[in-house]
Amino acid sequence: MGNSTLLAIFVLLVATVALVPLAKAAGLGTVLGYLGAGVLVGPYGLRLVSDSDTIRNVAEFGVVMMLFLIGLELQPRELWRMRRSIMGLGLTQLLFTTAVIGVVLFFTGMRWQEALVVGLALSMSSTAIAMQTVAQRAMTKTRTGRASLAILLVQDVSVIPILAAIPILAIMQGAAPVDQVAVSTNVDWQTAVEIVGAFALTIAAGRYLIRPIMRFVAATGLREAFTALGLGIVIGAALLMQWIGLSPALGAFMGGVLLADSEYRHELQSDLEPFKGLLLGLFFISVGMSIAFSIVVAQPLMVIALVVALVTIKIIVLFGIGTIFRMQLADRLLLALLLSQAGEFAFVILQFARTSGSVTGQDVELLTVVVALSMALTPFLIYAFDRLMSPLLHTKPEASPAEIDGGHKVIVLGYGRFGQIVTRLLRAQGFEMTLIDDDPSQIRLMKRFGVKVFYGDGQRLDILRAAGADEAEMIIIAVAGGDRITLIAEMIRRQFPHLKVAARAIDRRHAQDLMALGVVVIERETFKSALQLGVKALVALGYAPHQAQRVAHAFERHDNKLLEDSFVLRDDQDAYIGFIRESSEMLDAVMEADRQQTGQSEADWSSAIGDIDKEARARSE
Amino acid sequence: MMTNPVLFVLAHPDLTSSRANKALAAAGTGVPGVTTLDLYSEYPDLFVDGFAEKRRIAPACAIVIQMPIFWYGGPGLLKEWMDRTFTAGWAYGPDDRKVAGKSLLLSMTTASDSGAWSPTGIHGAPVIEYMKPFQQFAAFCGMTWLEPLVFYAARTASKAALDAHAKTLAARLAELTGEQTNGQ
Repeated sequence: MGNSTLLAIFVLLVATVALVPLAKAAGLGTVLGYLGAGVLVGPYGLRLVSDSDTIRNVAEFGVVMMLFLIGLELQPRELWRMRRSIMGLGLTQLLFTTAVIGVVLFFTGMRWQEALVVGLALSMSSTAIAMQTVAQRAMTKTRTGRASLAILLVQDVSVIPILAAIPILAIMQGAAPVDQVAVSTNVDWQTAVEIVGAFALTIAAGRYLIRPIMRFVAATGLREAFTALGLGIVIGAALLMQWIGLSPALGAFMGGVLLADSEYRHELQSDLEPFKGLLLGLFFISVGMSIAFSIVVAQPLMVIALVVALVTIKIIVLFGIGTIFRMQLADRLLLALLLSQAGEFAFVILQFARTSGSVTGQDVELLTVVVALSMALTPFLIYAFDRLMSPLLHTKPEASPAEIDGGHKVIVLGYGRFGQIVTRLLRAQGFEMTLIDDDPSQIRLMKRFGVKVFYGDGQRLDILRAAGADEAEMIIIAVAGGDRITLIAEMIRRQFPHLKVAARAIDRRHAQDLMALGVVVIERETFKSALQLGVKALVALGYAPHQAQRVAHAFERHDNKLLEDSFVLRDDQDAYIGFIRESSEMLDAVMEADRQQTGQSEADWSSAIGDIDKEARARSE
Repeated sequence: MMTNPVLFVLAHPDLTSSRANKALAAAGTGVPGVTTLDLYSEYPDLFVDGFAEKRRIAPACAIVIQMPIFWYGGPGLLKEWMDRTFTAGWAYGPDDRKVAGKSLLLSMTTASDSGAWSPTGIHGAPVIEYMKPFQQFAAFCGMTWLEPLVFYAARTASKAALDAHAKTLAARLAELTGEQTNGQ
């Protein structure tokens, strides 16, 4: 790695650190910060980094990775359930937007072939910008989030036939291809077999190869090996699709969907998340760098008019489609704004169209600037929506996922003997339980009983995030080992103060450590079972069952009170021991009194009661 | 001015899903000088701590019990509370009559309307007649029996009727604490 590469990376990182938090704090979202950073260091800014194309090639892998992660969130049957909206929403958007843009361009004097290609290119929206915003607003599982995904997926798939059709259009146009592009576009049998084969291979590999490997790697406990495996899966799926001529992003998405029901989903998510974040950031930076300000300066009115026209057309078409599909007003508007930009595929299609000669180089340069600016405009539009529109509409634009799922989400860390009992009780009451354990053999065993447990270390913040700690109502810490429980409880109290925390305590001391952390729901792991054994022992020794239960109860109450009362003394060893000793004497007295009282017969007071009885009778007579 | 402490005992197994008792519990709890004891929350496992209850009752000048009618009496835990708390040697006996002089007020809800509680109705007698054991319990311990409050048709009565009854109960509690009721 040369010094210049390191320097470029350093400059990009500095620009990111400088601008992204600023944009976020201003409420404009992180995307704009990255774009700004790109403009700042790029060829039209400080000229610190110039090679935006190379950077973009690397960074486009961030989009691939994002689609893999989106796929991970989507079970195959959910995808199947989405088929109507995918076909309906997606195709309608693509056709209408292309038609409107194409017709407008045709009437401004373009040839129809060129107008069609540009229309197709600009009808694409940016997966990176839209889904990043959707994810940041935690609306992946909402209607708007799903509708955006459906439209973007159709666009993704259609890139392939579009790229195939461009050379044909170029020939019909009579233009001499600048580059000799393969023009064999008929889908022959061999290609079809290849595609079907590749899909079958992906599915088979996902089930019979990847899963055992994941189990094996997880069992070794080597974190970086698992991260490498995750990256390998994404790149492998992307390569496979590229090999048969489909988009790598689509391949990654497929791979994600296939692993969506895997117990290693949360681990994969949290391992790949940082890579995705950085690469996407890099991608946005490269877009910022590609805004050719020389063109903006040369024909400012033209550029502004084109950007406004493009974004307006896309918004109107999307809003109309939302109306047809009976979305609520606020949802419709948000969807339209989210997808109002032209996307990264526009760059690809335009570059391809230029090399095949169907669109002139001059037009491509101008349009590239327009596309980049339309992407930069989206964060502003969303910002305006939040500030101006949502208060006016009075309805919340999106219910949070927790509300949709009916809330009451509970995460259980540690699915051993302790966690299982808690989980079964709560699940039977209808709570939505997410189970996490770090023992692959335990996970496998549970799978045989039909219970889905996710692999992950409850001590890791990113695992908790991926498991949905932000939307959950409660976390139950049921792992073994006092120190581990304390560490996890401390982290949760710090990172997710809104969460209710229930924790397994080892003993009295540990329970007090947890109390000190503000954990309210605590149960000592052996206390109740020991007590119950005591009850059974008393019954076996001749006590009446209810009587045995009563004394155990008095004991339990006393002991729990003692636990609370001695909490303040726990740092003073002598005082603590003295207090406990005094209290156990008190306990003996209490239990003796309770025994006497419940044991006392009316005979003890028979004479006295006899008197009162007489008195009462006398009065009533 | 000193207020007379009042103990407001809620005896309903599931207050969150009860309409009338929830409203009446809320109305009573808000009155100054009133201490509320939600029996089923305090003793979810039905094991009443008689010693603790004696300590709780000692300072009260009046005990007000808010309860639904279950099988011509109060809910089971209320009886267990009475059994464990009002024991010989404390509530009655040769020397100690610790609750003598306190007042006892029952505030009841019933699902049937008032017509059902009549000689010709399905219950065969006015609801008050079935409260005889409570009345005698008060007399035996030397407590002053106050005229009970009854809210009929608890599930079907109008919101206005329920609100009005809640106000009546709150006023009655305020009266027992000795506070002025602001002319209501």
